[in-house]
Amino acid sequence: MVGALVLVYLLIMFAIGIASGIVGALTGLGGGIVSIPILTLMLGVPIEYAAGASLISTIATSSGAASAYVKDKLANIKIGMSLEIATTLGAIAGALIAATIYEQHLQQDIFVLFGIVLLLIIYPTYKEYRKTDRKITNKDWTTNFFQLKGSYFDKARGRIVRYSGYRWWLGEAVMCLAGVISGLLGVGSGALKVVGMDWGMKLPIKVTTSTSNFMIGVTAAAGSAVYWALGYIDPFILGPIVIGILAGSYIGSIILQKTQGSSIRLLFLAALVILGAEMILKGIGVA
Amino acid sequence: MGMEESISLILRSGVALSALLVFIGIILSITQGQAGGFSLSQASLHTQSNSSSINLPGIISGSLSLNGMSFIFLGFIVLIATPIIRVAMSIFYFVMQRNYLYTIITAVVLANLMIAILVVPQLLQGAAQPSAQTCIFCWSAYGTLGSLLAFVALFAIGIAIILLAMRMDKSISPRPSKVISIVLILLWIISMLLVINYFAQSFTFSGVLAGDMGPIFPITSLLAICSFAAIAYASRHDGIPIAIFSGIVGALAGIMVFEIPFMLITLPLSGSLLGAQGGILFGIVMFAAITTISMLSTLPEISLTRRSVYALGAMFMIFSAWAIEGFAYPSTPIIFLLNCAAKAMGFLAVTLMFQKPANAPGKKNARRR
Repeated sequence: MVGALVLVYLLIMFAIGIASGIVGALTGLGGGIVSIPILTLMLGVPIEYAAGASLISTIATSSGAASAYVKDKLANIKIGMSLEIATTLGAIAGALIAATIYEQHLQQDIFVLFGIVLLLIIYPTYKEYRKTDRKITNKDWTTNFFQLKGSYFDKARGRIVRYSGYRWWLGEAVMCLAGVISGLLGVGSGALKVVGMDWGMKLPIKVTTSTSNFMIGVTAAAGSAVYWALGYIDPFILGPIVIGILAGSYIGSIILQKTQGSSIRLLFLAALVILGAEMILKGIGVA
Repeated sequence: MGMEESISLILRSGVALSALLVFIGIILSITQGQAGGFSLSQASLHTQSNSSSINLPGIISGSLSLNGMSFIFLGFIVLIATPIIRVAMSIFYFVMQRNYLYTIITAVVLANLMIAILVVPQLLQGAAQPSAQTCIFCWSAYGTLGSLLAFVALFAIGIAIILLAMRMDKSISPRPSKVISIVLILLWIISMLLVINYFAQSFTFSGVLAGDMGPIFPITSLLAICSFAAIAYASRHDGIPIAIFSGIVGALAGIMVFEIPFMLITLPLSGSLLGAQGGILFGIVMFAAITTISMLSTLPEISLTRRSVYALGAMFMIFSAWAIEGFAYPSTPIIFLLNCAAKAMGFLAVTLMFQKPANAPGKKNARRR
């Protein structure tokens, strides 16, 4: 009897993982940002445990996806590494802020903040799909000093694209913010990382998205260590979810390849608006 | 295998191994019919399955006895370790490419991760329960993630130093100018006076004999005397006063080569070092360590040889083995031995700086690889 209950419980968690993984891959936002609202709103899991679970599963999805990008030399390891200085420090700060908030029992604030961040990142994520790679010629002293150059093979155009970025300090500043949000809310904050490299450093969008994926794992590792020490990592919430999100992301990437149009993505992005609004409502005590 | 391929391989195998461990853990939990004794939405710090109350030995012994929860935790540890190992690996590649800017940048990223994993949790726990440590030289051990990742970091540093030694073409013989030498000697004398003053206030001679300085102190003294003798003998052609002076500075530097990394590693572990009084002790010893090691450059027979760098790398390798044991206080025989071995390597590194390789006499040290 007890065994059957455990089985049902683990299956529910697994299903949530798969759903989050699929939606995360289709929208390009990652599994964590979907699983936190589902766990907290529908199942009533305390948000600190949902955040801990999300942070660890973010490492799994980012490492899995990044391995392919790194091999294709789409992700720029140097640029990623130089920006990780800021994301890791930010993640530590964010996780410590979260620890203080939870200690003061101000969980409601995290709900509101999460909802706001979720709503704010939907627009840049939506815009990203309309972008085509532009010719990059910007340079300043950081371009040479930090070796912000590279090249990749563009499959669609069938030729090698050379690129260079600039304004390293601006990228670093946005990454610090991305790190804080990652540690505070337990998400990978990949969208913000993309903004930092795309808008800040003017890197090509293909390089940006894959380098961002490459960086998420390190950022999340820094944050999750703090969550681990605080005791917010629960094996029986997280175990099935990690497996589910990994499977879901894989399924999502297959769906992405099969369907060309962005209509499905728009549908899911619209659904995320509802989740974001619900999080805010829950935070201010209406829902 | 290039940098991209090996990083990609690390990432994929880490995720696959972790997913496998978690999957086994879930299957075991189902067959055992228990999920940490709680159901949906009951997660809290009071359940037995929360990560703050779990430790590495417990996870390993639990996995060996086929406990589902331990397997899941093991999977998480592998998952968190994957990006960290990837960062550590990148350091080697940047060293090999002689890209020193990115070697430093990657080292800073690794240091940040170490702060997140080693220092922050200790601070959080320290804030929760102020430690009642009275012994100045005592320290506690690292926790689960802490010991694992201290191991990764120290192992990476050790390998990097050994790689550096392998790439060393010739010995380095620093020759500071007269002015710098005089400034160094003055600073060194000041730092030594500070240290003597501090220890004279904190310890009595009979107390030291009774073991106030910790269980390693006799070994340290013995090693220091051996090191002094070897260095003085190697410097005998420069006259007896210089030989004795070289011996004293060399033996002290031997202590300090061990002490600098050691103090940095145990800083978050030592309750007393984090307080105001401990901060003064830390500052004084660090100052003395840096000036003493700098003093080496003023000695006539000194040259940084490849063998000496190898000894330094070996010291970090022993540190990494010690980290597996949580970098705990030397109260068990194994840890005691590791502590002594690391100390010996520190002394060896400095002593070897005074021993010129037989096949390359004099300053013209043109060894081919």
